[in-house]
This record gives sequence, C-alpha cells and structure tokens, in this order.
Amino acid sequence: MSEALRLAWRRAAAAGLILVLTAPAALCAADEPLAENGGAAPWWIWPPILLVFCFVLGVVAVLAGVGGGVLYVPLVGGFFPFHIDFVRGAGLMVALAGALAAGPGLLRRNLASLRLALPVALVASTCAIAGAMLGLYLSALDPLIVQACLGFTITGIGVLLLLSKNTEKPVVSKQDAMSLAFGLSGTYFDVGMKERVEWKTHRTLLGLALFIIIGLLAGLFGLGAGWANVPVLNLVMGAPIKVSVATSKFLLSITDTSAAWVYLNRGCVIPLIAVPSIVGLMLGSLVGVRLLTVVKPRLIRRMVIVVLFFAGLRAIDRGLGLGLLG
Amino acid sequence: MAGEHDAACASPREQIIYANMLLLGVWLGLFALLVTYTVYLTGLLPSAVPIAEVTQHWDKGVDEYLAVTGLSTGWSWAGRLNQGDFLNYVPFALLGLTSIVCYLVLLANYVQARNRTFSVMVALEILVLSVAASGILGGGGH
Amino acid sequence: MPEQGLTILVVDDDEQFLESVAQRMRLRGHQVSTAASGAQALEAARGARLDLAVVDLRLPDMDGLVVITKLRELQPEVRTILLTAHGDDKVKEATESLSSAYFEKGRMAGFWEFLSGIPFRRVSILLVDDDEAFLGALAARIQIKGYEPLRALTGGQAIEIARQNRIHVAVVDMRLPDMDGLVVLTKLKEIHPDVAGILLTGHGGAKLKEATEALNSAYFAKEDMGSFWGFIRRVLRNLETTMAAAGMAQHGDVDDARRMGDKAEDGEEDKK
Repeated sequence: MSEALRLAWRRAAAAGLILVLTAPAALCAADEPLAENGGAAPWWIWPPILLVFCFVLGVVAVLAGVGGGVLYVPLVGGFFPFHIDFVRGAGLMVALAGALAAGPGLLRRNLASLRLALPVALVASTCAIAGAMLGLYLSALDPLIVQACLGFTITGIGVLLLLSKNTEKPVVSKQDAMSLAFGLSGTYFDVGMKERVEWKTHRTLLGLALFIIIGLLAGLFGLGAGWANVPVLNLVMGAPIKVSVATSKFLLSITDTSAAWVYLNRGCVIPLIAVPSIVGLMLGSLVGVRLLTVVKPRLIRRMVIVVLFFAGLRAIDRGLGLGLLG
Repeated sequence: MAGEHDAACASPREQIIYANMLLLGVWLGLFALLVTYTVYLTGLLPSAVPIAEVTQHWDKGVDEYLAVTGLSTGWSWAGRLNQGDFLNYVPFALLGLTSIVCYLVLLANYVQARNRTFSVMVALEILVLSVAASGILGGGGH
Repeated sequence: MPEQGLTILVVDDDEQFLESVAQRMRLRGHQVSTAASGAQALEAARGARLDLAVVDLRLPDMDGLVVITKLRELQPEVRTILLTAHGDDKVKEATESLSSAYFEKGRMAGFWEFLSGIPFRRVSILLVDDDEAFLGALAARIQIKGYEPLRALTGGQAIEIARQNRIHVAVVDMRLPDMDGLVVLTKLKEIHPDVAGILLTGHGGAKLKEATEALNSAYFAKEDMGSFWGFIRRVLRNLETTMAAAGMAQHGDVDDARRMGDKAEDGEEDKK
C-alpha cells in the first residue's frame, strides 16, 4: 500500500470513527434498545455485536487515553442486557488480557520497571481480591448498590481525566528509606529527547497505602485502574510520567490476575460474553495505535469524558432509583 | 555516544526473562481463546448449557444464574473439558496463570542472586495469586 | 525487512574463549574477526569498517580501555563492549565514561542479551547508472521500503563508493560511459565478495520495471518471506510493540505511543 493511500484510508477510518463515537449517545437516547429484546433475539447475534462494539471501544480507548476496562464496564453495563456481575467478570478479563499483552514490550524497553511494580503489585493484588469478594457480596445483596458506587466512581474518573496534570519528570530530592531498600530507581533512554533519564522514588509508604484503595476499587468494579495508578506513581511517588504510565499498565496484569480469578472461580465469566469482548478490544487497540498519527486525540478524549460523565450519572441515577435520566 | 543500548539503560536481566515468558504466555492464551471459542460457537463439542439458554439468563445475578443453569463454581470445569463451554476456560486459566509462572521464574532468579527482600516479596505475591486462583476464598454473598 | 549481521571484532588473548565467542556470534549471523592483542586489534580496525568491538580488559600488550580509546579514534562510530574476568566498580565507571558497555565474563548471559539488542545493520544498496532521472526514480522506489540507496553515475564512481562503504546489493546498468556494467560488478565483488549484483539490460520504462522486479525477487522477497518461524517471530514482535504502544496510550502517554506505533509499522523494531 502506498503512503498516500494509507493516509487516505486512515483519514476515512477516523471520520467513520467519530460517527460511531456519537452512536452510543444516540443509543442512550433511544432508551435501552438492546436490553428490551434481550431474551427474544437469537443468540448468534450477540458475539458479532459485542465484537464490533468492543472493537470501537478498543480504538476509542487508545485514542482517548483511557483504559479499556474503564470504558467497557459502564458502557457494556449500560447498553447490554447482561447482569453487572458478568459485565465486571468480562471487564476484568478484558483488562487482564490488555495488560498482559502490553507487558513484554514495556518491560523490554525498560519503561515499565519490574522493581517498582513488585512491591506495589503485592499490595494492590491482595486488596483486589478483597475488593472482588466485597463487590460480589454487595451485588448479591443488591445490584443497585454496585450500580450507584460504580456511577460515582465513573463520574470521579471523568473528573480526574478532566483535571489530571502529570509531571514529566518530578523532582525527587531525597529517596526515602523504603525506596532505597527496595531499590526503586532506574534509568531509561528517552527516545524523544535523546537523553538518558535517571529516576528514583520517594513517599513510598504513602504510595503503597494509596494502592490499598486502588486495589480495592479495581476488584470491586472490574475496572482497570490505570487512571489511579498513574497519578499515584507519578505525583505521589515521583516516578517520571513515562515510567509511571508503563509501570501502571504492567501492574494491571498482576492486580487484575488476582481479581479475575475471584470472578472466574465464582462463575462470573461467561465465555459467550467475555471472548468477543477480549478479542474486539484487542483488535481495536491494534487499529487505534495505527490511527494515532492522523487523529487529534484531544477531541476524542473530550468526547469520551462526556460519555463517561453521562454513563456515570446514569448509573448513579439507576442505582439510587431517582429516575431522572430515564 | 549515549545510545539506546547503553548498558545503564538496558533492562535488568530478570526483567527480560519476565518479558519473554509473558510474551509467550499471553499470545498462546489469546490464540487458544480463538480456537476454543470457535469450537464452542460451531458446536463441535456439546455445551453443558445450551447457548440460547445462556442468553436467556445472563440478566440475572450470578447466584441465580448458577442455580438456573446448574453450573458449579471453582475449578470444576477442568474435569469437563469435553464440553464446548467449559473448554473456553482453558485459555482463561492460561491467561490467569501466566503471571504466576513468570513470578515463579522470577523467584528462582532472586533466590539465586540472594536478594532476600525481593525473594520474599515475590514469594508472597505467588502465594496471593495462587490463593486467588485456587478458589478457596469463594465469592462470598450466599 | 532485509538485515545484515554486524561486523564484529573480538579481542582477547584467551584463545579458547575467543573462538567460542566468535563461533556463537557467527551462528547469530554476524561477521566476526578476532585478535589476540591490542596491536592486532588496531591493525584489524585499520583494514575494515567495524560495527562492534568486544575487548578484554587485560591484554598482553595494552589495557583494554586503551584499545577502546584508540579504536574510537580510528572509527568514531564503532560500538564497544569491555569484558573483564573480575568485576571492579572503578573499571566499570571508567568504561561507562567512555560510553562503552561493560560485562563480566562470569555473567555472559547479560552480554548475549545486550548483543541481541543491537539492531542488525541495514542493507545498503548501490545504484549505478548514467541516467540521473532513472537513478532518482529507482531510488524513490527503494526509499519507500525504508532504505537510503547510494548512487553513482559512472563505474569509476561506483568503485570509489564501494571502497568507502560496505555494499550489500549493487544494481548496475549494462551500459555505462566509462566501462561495461559487467566489469563494474566484477570489481565490486573483488572489494566486497558477498555483494549481490543485479545487471540491468533493458531500455527506458522497461528498465525501471526490470530493476524493481529483480530487486524484489532477488532480495526483498526472499528476505521478507523468510522461514515460517521467522514470520511468526516478526508478527509477535510487531504485536508486542503495538500492544505496548496501546498500553502507553490507554494510560495517557499518547506521544510515546505514537512513536512506538510508528516503529511497529515499519517493522523496524529496535530490540529483539
């Protein structure tokens, strides 16, 4: 394929994408169109619908800079007739597969730091088990509790994405004792700046404490937790943004392993739902990366934040039974 | 000539090993996922729960769903791999076990290097992940 | 993408070690020469362009660090690795200040990993024709594949370029102003015995087609298809990079994701 042709193709794909992006809002306005005929529709329409839906989610997640799980749980939960238990189960498998697949490349480039990830992962994955068990307990009591909490979390993520300001290379004047003991430091080569960057962390204990909460949330809702991992690693512990981003993604492969097993063993992963979701999101991310060069991510990010707010408020509305948003 | 391949910027050895094992595990898992799902959808193997029935009950909570479909929890699927829907759990388990296997190799590495802090940390993580995978914790909520 | 192994010089006075290392490098597709002393190493470096020099710290006639410094003077672009039998922080610091890598002989696994991290050298192509428009058109086609071909208008120029550069493929027109294309190819082979030569016999538009097809079938196609496992490895490598890029993007680092994504697309992966 020639360069010009390739570019043209990408532009067309991007235009189509923006159209599709607005579709969920339209669906939403139509008031649960899919949920209505859930029982009546033949089974075989579900895998392709899920595949296409998740493919779009995968593309959007990459372009908007949002974790796949963060989009998956509220949107699939909102537009598909599945119970929230199965949405979370599939969401965890989706986030797990994505994180596992991203891991090798990040570790090999020394962007994700294994040393930094190990202590953090231990805390987060232990708490993710507790979070997963708590989440399943709550939804057995009343799924609406989970709905409402999820709604608040999603809205919170929207705010966080809107306000987030990361620091390229935080200044760490003094490495604390714990960081020294664990050797939480490293060097990577910044391809863009063509320079060698050395880094170390501080406020390790506070950072680890925050990961207790992050782990709980990851297990509770089956969301990936990149949105929380990155600020804690970057702003609290002082790792450079690149290292924080990469380590955060790798970290999910461990956190979500423990949470996913709890859901898996509890019977919350229905293959019919989970497999097309995983494959769709994976293919979507592969295409999304290719589109990065032609699309203005900023616009898409804003649209996604709006969608997240909407999905979050809707979940709150449903969970609390306010009936304001239909 | 500060290059990308400076010794200082190179990933630590254990990190590369981890990366290689992860790469193998995850793509093997994803490939298996496609195979088993194809088997499942085409009905090459009989399903324990007919697919049409799955779509009828997936709007119910997990406890009710399990009760209606007669499925059981934990690793019971492992003994019924001649059924299409249970076969799908093989790649799920593969994806879930990949990190544990990587950690085992990591543990061997740290023990050999006599790095006590990280050996303990890695051993604890293996314990945590194994407990999660074993299913002995149950899901709560009965 | 076609790749060529590196030209490596290994310097060590331990003959057995020298041979085993060289053998292993050759198995990985590199061209390896060996030297038992610093003087021999410098002589070798005067005779041929090197990509990489692996030098033992203790040599009979001079210090390994000195050899590295002198090699750099001869060939500023050469990468260097120092090997020592005994680890020593001072030596390590000194090596790194020379921006050279450092490995202990007891831990060769790290060395091999480092070596496989060095990208293979790109294939260099020499185009020889007196028709400048044709040269430009052919070069443009080759550039699309990611190569920067060298160009010569006469046989004399071609030979001059081949003396100064390592050439892997030469595309030569049969009729040149100063000598016959066949003669040029023969002379090029004298300079670089392993050069793959393509002689063009067509005219006008047919010539460009001939050249492209010959390059495709003789070189690109063969290398591109490779073995089944080579294919799988390339696909995996590409997936690895793309998914890593996706991961960076999803967690908010779009710039790096874009850069990594571009690399994956070109298949120009920097690490194995």
